Amino acid sequence: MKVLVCIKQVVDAHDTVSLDEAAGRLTFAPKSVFRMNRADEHALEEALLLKERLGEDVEIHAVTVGPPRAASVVRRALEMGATGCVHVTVGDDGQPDPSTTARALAACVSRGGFDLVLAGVMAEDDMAGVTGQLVGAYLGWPCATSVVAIETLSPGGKVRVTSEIEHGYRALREIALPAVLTIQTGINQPRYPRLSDVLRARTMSPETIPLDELVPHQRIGNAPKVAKPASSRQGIVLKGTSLEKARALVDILREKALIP
Amino acid sequence: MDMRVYIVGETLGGRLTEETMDLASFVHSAYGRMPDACFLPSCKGDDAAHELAGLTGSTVHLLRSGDDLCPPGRALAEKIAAIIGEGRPSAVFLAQRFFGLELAPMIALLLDAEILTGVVAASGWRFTRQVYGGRFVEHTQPARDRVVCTVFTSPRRHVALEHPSRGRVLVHEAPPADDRARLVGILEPAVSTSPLPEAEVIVSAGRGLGGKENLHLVEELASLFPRSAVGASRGACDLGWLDYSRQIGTTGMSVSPRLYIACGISGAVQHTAGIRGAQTVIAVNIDDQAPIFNVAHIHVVEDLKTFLPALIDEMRKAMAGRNLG
Repeated sequence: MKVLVCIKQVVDAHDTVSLDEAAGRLTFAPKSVFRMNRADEHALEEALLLKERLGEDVEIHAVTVGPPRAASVVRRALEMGATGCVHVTVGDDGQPDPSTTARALAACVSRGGFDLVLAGVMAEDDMAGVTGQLVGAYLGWPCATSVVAIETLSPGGKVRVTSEIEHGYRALREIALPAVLTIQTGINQPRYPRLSDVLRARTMSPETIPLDELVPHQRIGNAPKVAKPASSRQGIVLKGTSLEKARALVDILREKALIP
Repeated sequence: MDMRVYIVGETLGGRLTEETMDLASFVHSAYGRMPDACFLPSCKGDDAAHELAGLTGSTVHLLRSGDDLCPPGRALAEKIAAIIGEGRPSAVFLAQRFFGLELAPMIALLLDAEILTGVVAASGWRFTRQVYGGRFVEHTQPARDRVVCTVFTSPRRHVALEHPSRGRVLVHEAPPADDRARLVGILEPAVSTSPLPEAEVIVSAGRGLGGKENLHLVEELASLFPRSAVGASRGACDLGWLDYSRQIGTTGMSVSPRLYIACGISGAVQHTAGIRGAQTVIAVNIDDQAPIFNVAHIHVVEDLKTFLPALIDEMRKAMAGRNLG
């Protein structure tokens, strides 16, 4: 069975991102650190757990679509134990929209003969939460989102998955492979790389494919303009030292009869 | 712009969900009119369909479907796309929930539409979506003349029609469910032992707390209030600091305490959706740009590790003084 895990590189701390208001785009500070999107890390871990359960004939590959710096997340996937990885390259700091990304990922799936695609439920930066479903839709495969448990019914044939709905409801579905699953955070605890895998990863290099080669006829949409949200701030801002703020807050709590 | 506006509603147990009415009101406030047509996938939603027709004065397509909570796959999307058909520019709105996020991408693909998720506002052909946990927004004007959006609905005053019309309901038989994704069952929420629903004061921990070793500060602060409980953001639960029964937000619990203290919670809409019922919200966060401050009544921009001990200390002094006096 071949499993493809879709991972994205995101900026670690959102307060290192600033807005160029004139250009309507975001810029990263020199100190910005980039890492694997958390939900994707859970997706990769889930794939590695599948391999542990089902045995050595499961191959786990990781793929990312992103700028040159995104190479570090597929390398990280190798260190965590992926068999191989692909970096679909785009220029500079660019990140294509979810539809283009999904078309590139679907093309990778077709090239590689995969049976199962795992992706994180949502990226922390653009918060689209839709790339996995689009990969499924482009491939014509069933897709289950927000998965919090995977049970293998027959290797390469069928999986039983639990999806998280709102307010504590969960859906239990049997999904015939090939299929796409989007993985919710908290499904597992992602591992730290073992030294042996780190050393193995050093001897490997990701396969790189330019985005234009995978998606030759990209539809050019209107680039979104980024802005600050319309401020709805109406609260009282406490001023002073830490102690002064604590005292002011105690007074407010008293006034509101929230403490005796 | 001459465009058609559609919504895809939801039912639960045969009843129209609150989010469906929020969606209709969202369309009304964005476009000054009710949706041109509504789709309602539902297993037994006849009454709900008539209610929605009465509420909107629009045509409601009741699509009989296997289960209310889980969309039956591509066949449903095909049915909706076929009814929308060719022709004028159109915008389709669904609620940003499990149901909508599974269904919307397929509808978009079939309509050759752009898909926009996390939408918080719309005006004409301009759509606003949240990014970076609500720290920024993106304004998009789709190049294509069709768009499918999932919307963060918020409870708003439901718009009533000035001249109520009964609308009309058209019933479509169930598209066959995709047997490659067979629904085995819906698991109901476990009977909760969570103290959150009963609590008058909730002190919640988020990733900004820095580590599990600081959780005692949140617990200690909570313990100073009568009828209090400790809550958490999804992030704090994912890190294993607190059990998921403490999680507040769209995939956790909705709470309505008298006082809510958010400690180190950035305040993405997925979390704040769960605290709309709170009377007073205090946010403590070192990052003054954190979106939690958009909903907080009292803002404390401080490092939790120094502020919480100071607050606990001052509260103890104040309460001791009161007891003596």
